[in-house]
Amino acid sequence: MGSDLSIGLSGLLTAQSALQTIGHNIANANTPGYSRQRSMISARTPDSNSFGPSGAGVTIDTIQRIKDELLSTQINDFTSFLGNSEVQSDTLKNIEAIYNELSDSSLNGMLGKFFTSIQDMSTSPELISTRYQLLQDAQNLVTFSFRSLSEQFTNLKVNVSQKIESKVATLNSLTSEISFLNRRINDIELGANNASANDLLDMRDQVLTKLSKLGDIRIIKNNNNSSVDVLLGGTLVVHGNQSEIITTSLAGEGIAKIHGLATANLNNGELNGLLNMQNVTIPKYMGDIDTLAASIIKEVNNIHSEGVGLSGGFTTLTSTNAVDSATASLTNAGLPYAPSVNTYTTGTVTSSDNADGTTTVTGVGTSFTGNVKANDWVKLADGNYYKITSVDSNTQLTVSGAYTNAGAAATSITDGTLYVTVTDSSDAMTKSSISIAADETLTTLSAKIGGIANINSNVTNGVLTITSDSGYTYNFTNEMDANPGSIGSSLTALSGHYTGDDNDIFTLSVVNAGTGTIGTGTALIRVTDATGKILANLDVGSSYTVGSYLQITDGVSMTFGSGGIIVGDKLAVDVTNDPDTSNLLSSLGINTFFDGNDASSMKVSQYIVDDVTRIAAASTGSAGDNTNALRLVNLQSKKLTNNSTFNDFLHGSVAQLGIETAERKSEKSSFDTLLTNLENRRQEISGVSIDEEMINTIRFQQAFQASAKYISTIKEVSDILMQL
Amino acid sequence: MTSRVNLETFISTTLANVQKSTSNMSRLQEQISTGKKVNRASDDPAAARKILSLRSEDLSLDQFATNLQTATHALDFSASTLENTSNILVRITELTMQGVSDGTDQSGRTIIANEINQLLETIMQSANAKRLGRYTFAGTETTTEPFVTTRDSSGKISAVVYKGNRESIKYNVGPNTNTLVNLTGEEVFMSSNLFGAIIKIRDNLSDGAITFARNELDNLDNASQNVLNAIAKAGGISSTLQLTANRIEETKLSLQEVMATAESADIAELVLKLTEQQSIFEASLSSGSFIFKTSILNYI
Repeated sequence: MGSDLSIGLSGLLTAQSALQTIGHNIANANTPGYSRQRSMISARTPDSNSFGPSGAGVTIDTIQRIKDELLSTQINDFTSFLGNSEVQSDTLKNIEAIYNELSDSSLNGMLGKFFTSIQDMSTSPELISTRYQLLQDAQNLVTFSFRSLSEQFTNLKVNVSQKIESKVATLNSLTSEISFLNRRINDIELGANNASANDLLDMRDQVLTKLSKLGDIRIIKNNNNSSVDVLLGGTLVVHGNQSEIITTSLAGEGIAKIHGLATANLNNGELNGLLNMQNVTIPKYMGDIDTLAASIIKEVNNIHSEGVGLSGGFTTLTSTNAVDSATASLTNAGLPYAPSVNTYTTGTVTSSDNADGTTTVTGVGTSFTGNVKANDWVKLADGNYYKITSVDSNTQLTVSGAYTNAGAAATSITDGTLYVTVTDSSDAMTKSSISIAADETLTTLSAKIGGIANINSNVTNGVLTITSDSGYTYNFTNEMDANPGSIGSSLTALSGHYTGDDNDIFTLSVVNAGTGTIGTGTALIRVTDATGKILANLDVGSSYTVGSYLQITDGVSMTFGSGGIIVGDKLAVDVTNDPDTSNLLSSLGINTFFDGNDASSMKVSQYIVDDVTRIAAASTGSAGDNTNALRLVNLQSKKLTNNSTFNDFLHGSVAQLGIETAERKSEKSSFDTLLTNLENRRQEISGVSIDEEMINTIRFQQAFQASAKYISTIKEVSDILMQL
Repeated sequence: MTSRVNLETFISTTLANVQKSTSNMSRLQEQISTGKKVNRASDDPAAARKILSLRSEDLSLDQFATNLQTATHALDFSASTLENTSNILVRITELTMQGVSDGTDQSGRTIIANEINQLLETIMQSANAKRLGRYTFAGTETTTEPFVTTRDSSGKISAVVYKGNRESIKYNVGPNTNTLVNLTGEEVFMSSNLFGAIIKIRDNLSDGAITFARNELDNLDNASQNVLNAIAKAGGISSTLQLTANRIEETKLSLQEVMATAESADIAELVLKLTEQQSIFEASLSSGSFIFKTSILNYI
């Protein structure tokens, strides 16, 4: 009899428990990460009777959690992928918003406007209004494009580094939660028999999924108990009941560093994505903007420093960029960008003086390398530099100046030249050139400049000041010396503007003296360049009108005054395209337009802001001269920035950003879809179906009713027994 | 196909699709309201690069066109000023021929010499012509009067000195292309000694030195030819520039066409797509809500 009741009771209790589980499922139908639970019902161990075993009722063995472990792993993996793509896509979208290149007020537009202002100045160099416009557009370019971009990038970088810090804080709280759950799960599962800590397991899985969004994890199940160890990028962050604290520090503005985690081994996840953005991508695009700014500053300054403003020549100029030490080599003296001097050794040479005051330098067992040219300087054994006036052959040069030590000596050749033109009060010009060595210091440079007649130079606190004597002005243009001297006793004059690409030296020599005077007989003067190539044969015989101009080449014409000539008379004429081949003036900041060397330091020089007539549109003192402005305009079509024009470089950077952003966007979108599909799969297996639970409710409700009815029947039966 | 589908699955799938629909609609909306297919580089990186490059080229072409116009005006002004001078020289030649002929007496010659003097003053004005505040025939010394006269005691010009220079002024009218825009006083007036010839003719006529005056006719003819050559040179450059300007305009038109194709959105097509997207959106919402309503709870 007792066993009947207990059978009935077991039925009731089982039904009740089952209903409880069903209720739990229904209540948690919307809980994220919840796996439905199922009561595992089995018949109780049967009682032994004389007629064999008889049933003893029903019991709940365990409450089973329906979950697919493999699916969990897949979900975690793809969550990592998504985390990585998501943060990168978001940051790239921010970078795109900063660049904002397709809008109207973009860097592309402002750069274009800067050059159109230079164009406008080139068609009216006399006017102040076009110069003011240029100044305005230059300042807009600097402030609203370069500096603003630089600032926005810095802000973005700081933002990303802050995100990294907060993600690491989240990481720490997640890992500590996992270790805590490990302990509680062990308490349950190691305690009672076969118990399954279902809800806690679900919670731990949820936290693990959240963790995998931060970085790719590997979960290692402990063999002896129910904890899990978690490896994040190879670093053990959860070990049983313990978790590692990961720290961050700032190594400068916007550079967050993570300690305690082997970040190089992270392949996915938000941390990896953010670190990639902070350390690689943002610096890359910032770097592009900086490269463009540096290139523009340098190239504009190179040309600007070789021109003059409306006032013509200078009486005093001061360098804007101070050096750290006046005795340190200029290539290493703390200038925003260094001058570019090339020096190469040529082995040993001998030299012999010529009657006309020049020296022939011959290589001894060595030949001069192919890039030796006129206007380069040769350093001979006395330590002085001599200017190369012609390259006679692979092993022979002619240099100007007498050098009387004919012994063999090792030598070096430098191709840094600076031309200085000094004009007196009657407009007579004297053009001198000085050599720039690779190890030139500010002090030695000042001495060389000061050595030019009527020019004084001094160095104070690392700053160079160049002044001219009273009544004289000077400049650094590529204008030719209009009065190069006489050939024989015929006074010559030059006219025009040299349009060749390289600096050169034209040598005039009389090949036929006619009857010994200019303008008579069949007199002929041949003009050769420094390699000996014939440029022109000038007929100065009887058909030549003394004083008229004859064309040589490349925009240069010459006139010959009356005078005597004999065969062999020579005259060397400097023609210059680049009067400052090592861009010394530009790096020192002498007569320059921009200051700075990257996007954040770029600004228009105060020297220009103070007086717009200083903008160097000209190469001579004539008001209508726009030759330097035309040189500036020409910068747009030259490949000066990483072998591209300014525009091409910028466009390339924008396009690359666009490609990267588009790729990340589509990557994120496809991971999103994949993850949704995986989640649906999980729902299929572990999700609660209200309909199903409702039907189960009916089932167990009836079971309960039936058991209850059975108990009351047993009660009735026992009542009858009692009444016997 | 999934065998066990619950409400959660329906909801998440519907949500995902609804989000995709709204995101598509928002993108189409952006394209319609800006009128542009490409609003950021990531929309279409290759097209974005092309658009940027086209924009830069467009800006360049505009500037070239402006410079061409400025150049043409300068050259045309030089040419028309010199045409005036050329006509005056024709008149001076006529007068000189008249003056040296035997049929003219000294009083006649004096009158002719006076008229030639007046004409000389007019030529001086042309030589010192100014445009937009700049002297036209001064080379690059555009702010200094190029021709300076010395006058004798009676106020007549006795000598003319050229204070300008021989430099040419160029404007940038194409990539790596600069055009000459000026004629120097040296090449137009001084190299042929125009003023010298006229002054000699005038003085010799008033002195009655017919032979010397007649000898100058060759020089005067030379000088006139020089002026005509200068006019032809300026005119030649100007018409070449005009051709370049026309070509630039054609290039600009085709450039704008290419830009429009690359950049502009076809509004009609986009609105159609938007309508389509909208109906998909509505259908997924209504089918979703239909499914959500159906549950066993309605039947128990």
